[in-house]
Amino acid sequence: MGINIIITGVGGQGNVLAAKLLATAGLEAGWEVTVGDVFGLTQRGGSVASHVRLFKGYLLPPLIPCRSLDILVAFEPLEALRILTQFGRETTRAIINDQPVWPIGVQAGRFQYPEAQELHSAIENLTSKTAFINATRVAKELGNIQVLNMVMLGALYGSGWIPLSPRTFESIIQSSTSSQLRGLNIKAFRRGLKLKGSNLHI
Amino acid sequence: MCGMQNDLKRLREEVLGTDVCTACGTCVNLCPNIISIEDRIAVLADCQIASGNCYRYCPRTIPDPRIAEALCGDVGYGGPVGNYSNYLIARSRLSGKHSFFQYGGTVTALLVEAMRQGLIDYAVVTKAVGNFPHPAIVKNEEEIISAGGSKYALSPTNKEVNRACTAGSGKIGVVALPCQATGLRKKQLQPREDGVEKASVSLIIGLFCTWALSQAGWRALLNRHVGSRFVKAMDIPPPPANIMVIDVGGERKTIPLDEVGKHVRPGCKVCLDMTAENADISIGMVEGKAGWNTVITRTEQGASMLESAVGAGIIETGSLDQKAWDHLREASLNKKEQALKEAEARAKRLPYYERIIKLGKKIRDEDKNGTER
Amino acid sequence: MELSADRILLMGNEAIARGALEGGAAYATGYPGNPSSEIVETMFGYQREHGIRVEWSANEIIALEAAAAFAFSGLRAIVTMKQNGMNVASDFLTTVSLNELKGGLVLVVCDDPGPMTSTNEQDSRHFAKIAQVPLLEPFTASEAKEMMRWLLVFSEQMGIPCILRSVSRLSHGRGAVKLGPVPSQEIKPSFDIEKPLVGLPFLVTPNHAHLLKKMKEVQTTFDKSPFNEYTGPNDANFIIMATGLGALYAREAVNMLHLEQQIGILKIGTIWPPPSHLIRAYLKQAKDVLFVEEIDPFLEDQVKVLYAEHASKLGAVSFYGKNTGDIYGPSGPGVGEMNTDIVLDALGRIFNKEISACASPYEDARKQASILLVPREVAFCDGCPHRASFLAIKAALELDGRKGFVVGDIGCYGLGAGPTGFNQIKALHCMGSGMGNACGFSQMASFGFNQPVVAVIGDSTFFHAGLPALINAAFNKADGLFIVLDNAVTAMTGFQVNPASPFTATGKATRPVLAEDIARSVGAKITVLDPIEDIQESIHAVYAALQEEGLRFLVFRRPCATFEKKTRAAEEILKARIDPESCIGEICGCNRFCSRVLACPSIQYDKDKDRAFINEDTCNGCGLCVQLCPRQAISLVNIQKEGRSA
Repeated sequence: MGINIIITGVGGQGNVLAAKLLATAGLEAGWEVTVGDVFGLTQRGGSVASHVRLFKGYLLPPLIPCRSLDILVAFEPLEALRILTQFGRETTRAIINDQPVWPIGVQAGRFQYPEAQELHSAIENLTSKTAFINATRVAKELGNIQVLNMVMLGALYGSGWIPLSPRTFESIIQSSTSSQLRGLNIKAFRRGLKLKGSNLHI
Repeated sequence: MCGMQNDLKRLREEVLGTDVCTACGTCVNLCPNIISIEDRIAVLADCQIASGNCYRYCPRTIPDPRIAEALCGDVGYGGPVGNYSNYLIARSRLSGKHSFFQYGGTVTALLVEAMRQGLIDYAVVTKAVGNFPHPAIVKNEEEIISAGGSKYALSPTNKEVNRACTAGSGKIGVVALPCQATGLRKKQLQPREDGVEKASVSLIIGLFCTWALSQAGWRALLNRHVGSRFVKAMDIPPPPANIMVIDVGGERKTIPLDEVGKHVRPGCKVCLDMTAENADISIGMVEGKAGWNTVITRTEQGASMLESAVGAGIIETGSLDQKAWDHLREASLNKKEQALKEAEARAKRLPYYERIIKLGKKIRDEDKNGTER
Repeated sequence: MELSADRILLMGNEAIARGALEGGAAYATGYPGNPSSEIVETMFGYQREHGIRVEWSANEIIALEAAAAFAFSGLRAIVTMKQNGMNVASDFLTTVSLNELKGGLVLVVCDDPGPMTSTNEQDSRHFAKIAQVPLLEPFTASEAKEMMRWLLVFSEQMGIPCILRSVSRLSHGRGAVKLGPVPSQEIKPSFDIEKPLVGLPFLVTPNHAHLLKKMKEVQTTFDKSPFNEYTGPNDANFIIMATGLGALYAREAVNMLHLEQQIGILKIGTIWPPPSHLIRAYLKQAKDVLFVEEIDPFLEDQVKVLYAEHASKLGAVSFYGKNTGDIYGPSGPGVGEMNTDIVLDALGRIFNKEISACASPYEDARKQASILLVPREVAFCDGCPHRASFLAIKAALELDGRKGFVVGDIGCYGLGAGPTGFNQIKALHCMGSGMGNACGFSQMASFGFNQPVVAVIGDSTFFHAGLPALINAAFNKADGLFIVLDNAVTAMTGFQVNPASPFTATGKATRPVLAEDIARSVGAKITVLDPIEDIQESIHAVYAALQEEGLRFLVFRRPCATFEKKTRAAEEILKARIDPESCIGEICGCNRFCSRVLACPSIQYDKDKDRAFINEDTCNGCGLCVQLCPRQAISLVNIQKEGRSA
């Protein structure tokens, strides 16, 4: 048994820290955990995805197989779709920050970013439930775009899709994030907890 | 996107990347995408704008038929020296400065008068920095006078005109080579539609030109014959001397014309225009009469500016004798003929060659008729 | 991070560092390179508390040589590198293995299969065979820690350097690790001058024989090693032999296909020398063997050699591997990264089992959706000095017009080969390769080669591998233009310090080594400037250098914008801002130059408003766009000041 989660976004959005904290929470709750990450080149504005696997029984590799994704947490909608086309299956659920970050090729006019309507329906076709939220706005309201990842994790906890307690998570934020951002991170996490997406059934 | 035809792509295929470009600078500084150093022009990136000013203004591209009628030189045929209203000789009477001018100083005096009259607020000229030409803006008489004198290599002067047109306001006078005069005239006839130019060109003083050296070529000649010494004057004595004479502070160096010819910009060799046929007024030297300029007035603007300068006493004129005039027309026709032969010899299918060869039929016909007459 | 005293979550590389600490390492060094950099970085954190000496070396072979000095003197040391670094270090490795070490010496090499940040996908396990040194490969973060600890002790016992091989997915993945005790450092190091460690020719053969004898002992130890483990039915005759993460991919695939009762998995952690008795025992039991390992069929080859040696005592066995073409990803066998899906496919083919797909409407939707996927290319960061440097180089080469081109090497600036660097770099291989290539290009003039060549190199790479090329160029009178792109930090691998940095890894101020000082000493013509400050001047500088002859050395110096943002609480925080009144959108002849051509991630074009705008969240206020806007619509504002006045 296990839960396969992917946290995806664009390099620099904070998916690595989010995955680390989420896996720590899983470990705390008695799960076996593994995280698959890639650093380096892709952090220069490329697509990034952290695979977080909570499991019991035999050991699992850090990469989730195709068509095996349970929960997708996407900081950017195009990246959500990218992951779903590879890892999605009928039961996949997703929480998506509906704030496009244009790839450099779109900005330069070499490619076209998909229309919102088109993108949403493609995502919905590949998920059983999808919550589109505006976590970017919340992070900006809190005064620091860097806490976007905590808003997203808050929303994940708020969905009730993972068997982990928000209270424990706050203590992990407390002990594992930088002192300057700690307070703001917790605030952001709490704001995320209360976010209600369009299809988020809590 | 990338495969689509657009004007920048056309400009690269038809002019910039070919042997017809003269580095006049008309395409530079219209946007950040076309840049230049010395007489080299380069494009930074592709452009998706279908029809661009860079192509419209270039003297080597096919002109819009609506303006073609108004143009001579490389674009249309208006007789051996183009359309004109008068021809004469002139020299500057600006006090105390005579000795400075290599020829007659008429260009300088005209600019001074234009500024005094308020026809222009400032001028774009080509200034020598060391032995090399640089486009420069001159804003008063002192600056105009200090910028006088001949230059020997090409400089993309029109890029400075483009910069001045968007940077400030007012009326600009330009001292232009024939190719530059054509570019400026095309621009004048088809002003930018984006409203970003607050200044405009109101006087084009054209210079006679048979060819110009590339800056790299000029540098090579200097390195070989002169070193780093300052060139005071340069002269090409009439045939059959077949030499170029460089005056380096009292010492005279001679360079065979064959050697010089190797460094002439290829674009100059296919130019039909010796007398700046698209200028308001064209100025050259007078063979065998040192200290005087040949002047051809072409537009109302040019003629009245000369008249005003004469009235103000800063230009003195005389008549150009018929023999000299015939000689000039012959020289100009000869330049056209040489250019046509060169274009035919290159046997490349470029729109510019096709256009001048077509024009050439007309020139040769009229030339024949003219001779008969 | 220590949530429970029992197990904590560690990145693979952090686990390796922890293993070094628990193994009693006194020294850790290396050269940064993805995916290995975090090992030494983690060691920096142990430095003060545990009295370990930690530093970044100028390159991998120096790192290994320095670490060997510790081992020569009775202390334990580790050296880290990526696979490319293995090549650099191998010259020393293949000779030092012939000597008897007093202290433990472990070389950690992190391979990058299906490269995420590499210019090759080399399998470094081959070096263990070349140098005849033991090599282990872990399959979890926990085992990585344990292997590291054990290897330091084992290396010391055997007197041989050892290798720990990791891969990106393990090094950068995370898993639960149980921490062990940290020994105290009590040994006083000394070098025994009675026992010289020299590799003179007449000593090589006896030393080599001694090494091979020791490797036999190693093999005996490995046969009984707990790092090798069999799971599955005792009588299974289909056996998967797997190394590293391969063991986990194999287990997941077997379970997903419900083949647990038919397939046994022999996980092998001791790669070189292979545990031959153990392997033979399972070869005897098996009728079919499938190999699952990263990159090359290394284990596969060794097992087949063993099988051939002992074939008369073994039954018929069918082998399924990369050599046989039975296991492969989308790009074919032996290339790309291993994963569960590849094993699933292989087993599916062998056992004739359908790999379950989703229902057809879902699969159709998947296909439909992939049409919408726009690639997300990597790009220079907001305010990156390299953007301006490559713009200047491109402009100068275009102006020069002789079909000049750029050769380069590895670092952030390698992106100069892509659209973000205006596709300028035309040859890119290993550390320093651009400068070396340029030496050769410049010697072809007598054959009629007349294209100007520009070699670009980063500050760290210049010190790593550029120096010999510079000296070679000076000595052989190469006619080249070398451009050092000096951003004062090794940015790509995570902002490590290097000799160009104004401070050491521990934050102490130091005098940076200036590349131009070295170049000046060999007679190069020097130009130094900030590439962004005046972009026209930068273009002119490159153009002017292209017109000259001889050894020309241009330094584009400006600190990495992303590193500056991370580290400095600046007095003023500058942001570019576009005045929507001055920007005229599509009617401007610039054709969206700032967003389209410059393609800084912070500059975007709003189609609805027909205006460019700056994302002030990400803008680093470098001011390049300010200089290039033909409408002068962009200006720099100090938001710190704005904040105060508001």
